[in-house]
Amino acid sequence: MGDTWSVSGAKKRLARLPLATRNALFGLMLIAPSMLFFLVLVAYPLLQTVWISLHSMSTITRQGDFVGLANYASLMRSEDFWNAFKNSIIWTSGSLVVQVSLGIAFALILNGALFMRPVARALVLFPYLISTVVAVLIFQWLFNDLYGYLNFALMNLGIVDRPVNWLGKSPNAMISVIAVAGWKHFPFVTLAVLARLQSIPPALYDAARIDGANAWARFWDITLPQLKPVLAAVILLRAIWDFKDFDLIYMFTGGGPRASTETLPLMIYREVFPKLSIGSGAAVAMIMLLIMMVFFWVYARMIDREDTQK
Amino acid sequence: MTFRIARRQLLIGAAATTTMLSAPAILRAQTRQLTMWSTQRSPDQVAAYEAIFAKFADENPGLTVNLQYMGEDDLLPKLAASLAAGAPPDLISHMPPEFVMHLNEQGVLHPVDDVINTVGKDDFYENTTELLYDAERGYFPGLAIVNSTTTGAMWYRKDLADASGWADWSSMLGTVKDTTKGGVFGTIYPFGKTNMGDKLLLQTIWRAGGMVLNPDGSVAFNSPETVAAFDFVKELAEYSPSGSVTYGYSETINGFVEGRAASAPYSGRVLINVQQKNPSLVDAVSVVPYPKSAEGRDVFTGDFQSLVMPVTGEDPEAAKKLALALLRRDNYIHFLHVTPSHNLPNLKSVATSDEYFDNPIMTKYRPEVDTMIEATSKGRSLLKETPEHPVNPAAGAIIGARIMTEAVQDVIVGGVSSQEAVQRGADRIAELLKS
Repeated sequence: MGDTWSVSGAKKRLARLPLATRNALFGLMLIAPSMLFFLVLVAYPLLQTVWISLHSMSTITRQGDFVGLANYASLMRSEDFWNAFKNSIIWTSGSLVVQVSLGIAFALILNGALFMRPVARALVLFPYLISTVVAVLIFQWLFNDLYGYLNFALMNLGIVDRPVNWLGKSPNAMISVIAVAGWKHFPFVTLAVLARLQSIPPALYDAARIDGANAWARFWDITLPQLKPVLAAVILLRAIWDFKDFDLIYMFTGGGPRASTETLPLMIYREVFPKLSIGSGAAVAMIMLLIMMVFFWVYARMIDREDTQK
Repeated sequence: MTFRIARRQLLIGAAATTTMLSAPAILRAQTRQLTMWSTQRSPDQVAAYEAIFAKFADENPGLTVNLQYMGEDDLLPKLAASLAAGAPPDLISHMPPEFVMHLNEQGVLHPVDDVINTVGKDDFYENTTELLYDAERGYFPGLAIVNSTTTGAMWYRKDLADASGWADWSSMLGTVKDTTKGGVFGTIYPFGKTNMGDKLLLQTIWRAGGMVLNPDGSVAFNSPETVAAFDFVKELAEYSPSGSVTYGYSETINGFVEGRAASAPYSGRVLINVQQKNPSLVDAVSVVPYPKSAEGRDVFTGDFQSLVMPVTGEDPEAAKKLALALLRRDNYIHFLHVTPSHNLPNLKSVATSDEYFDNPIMTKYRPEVDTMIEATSKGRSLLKETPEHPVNPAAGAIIGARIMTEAVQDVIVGGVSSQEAVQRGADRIAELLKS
């Protein structure tokens, strides 16, 4: 009876509120589930990472002392951190260049008249679909100094007279791992670019041909400007994904030789696990997040600008 | 049509249905599944584990064992994740001792004194018990399940060089130079950022007369002996495959077994692999202790792979039973025999028994097995570099951070001088010890 009374009382109190307040409360009620998911899945882990980064903490026990910004200060002084930062930039930009170049080239080929085009379009996805561990094993075998097919082929062709140390020398290791990443991820660029290419009106090319434009001029003056928005989005997304890529480099080179392929995600791993220092690992993760926020900010502004133009 | 049922029948039927539905849960509650992790995962070892656990389940009704395999390098990440998830294993086998003491510092390991005392403390080799003892708290956080050395034994091809060619550093350099020809390398010296790379380099430093830390805890890595060790490795690397900078356990043994090198360090697993994968080398391989410099110390890096019980395991008593089952003479010898002389016994009573040597491969290669046992008895760990050193719980972090292998890579790949590389390595070790 009491419950009924209180529910009806609440209803009466609600009815006395102004309409605008009731609408606002209704709106809040509607977004509450999303807010709850956001708090549990995004805000809580993020705040916990910030909190951990302010501690000198064991990975195993999750206990330690509050050290303020000492982990960050120590990273700023660390030669290893700046080396990993430099490697992350080289890795991200190198992978992007390879992926975008291969992606556009394949998209142009697949957009043209091609024998068994549907099959070719399906096959080009193969590297993207293959699991990273399988891709790494295949390429480790190809690059192997004793049995690798690549060295075998180069020596047979007389290009080199002794096996090339693909993974054990700098900058060979970084070049090799960038090449593998380019091969693995270019189909994503191909897919996005191909979709855009198919929507470019053929009349534009016809008009250009009538005006005497050659293939390069048609690509430069028609295709590329039309691809710009999709390329910008693809480059930003891939930059974010590559910047935080861990598994491919870790399995392929483990960060070596020396620390020549050690990127920031590998540094986080090394801090958190072998050294069992989750606090300093979390500090590296937070710095990475800040860098990626810049990428995200550019991406958000780009989307915003597109919406405004529409 | 109406369907009638008496109340008594209804009640009996309901009770029977409830019993049937709850039977699986009741059975599950009566069966306790222990989880054990191990790094030993060759098909023969897996079969041996399965046979031992089947016997264990028969002898201990209600207990079964779920075995999970992982690489040595994955142990800490997976343990951290399982502890965070509140589901750690009950037992971990073949964990490097440096990790054991590192974890013990964090207070996450259960003492195994009961297991050691039940087996008989004196039956374990002393170099393992002194290593895995927490003197401050007065207990053993782990026990070495085997006492082997992967780096102390150096396999060589008898058809390419005599044993005398590997007597010391100077003769070894001459031999590797002479045997590097026709697609065969004089040696394989793995110096990848792997556990094997670190263990072999540590051994090379010791065998040059150097140390990583002094007994008082100060850093000794930047000594002239370490410089000599680095210079030696640099020379050896010229006669080792160019990919040695990335090599670990598997690349080293595969390279040697497939006949691509005249020499390589490894445990007794070489014997079984040669039988299975390259029978043409069966009579062409032998082993010597890994050479040392004239000024060096006659010690090797031991593996001391250990058995530990995470403190948060659900049933420590059942875990102890399982540990004792693994150490039981018949089970222990069964497991050792599947990879003859790869894992050497850490129980003196087994190591000296006829039963242990009653194996065709061990009989055929008895001199080689004796050489490995001799090398193992001189095994040490970065945990305790000499008897005078106190146990160094940071050893696991030093190895895990790959500071030593990175320093030697600085020399061989980076072209940095040995003096500069060891100084940088020493600074990084000092920094790590401070944190």
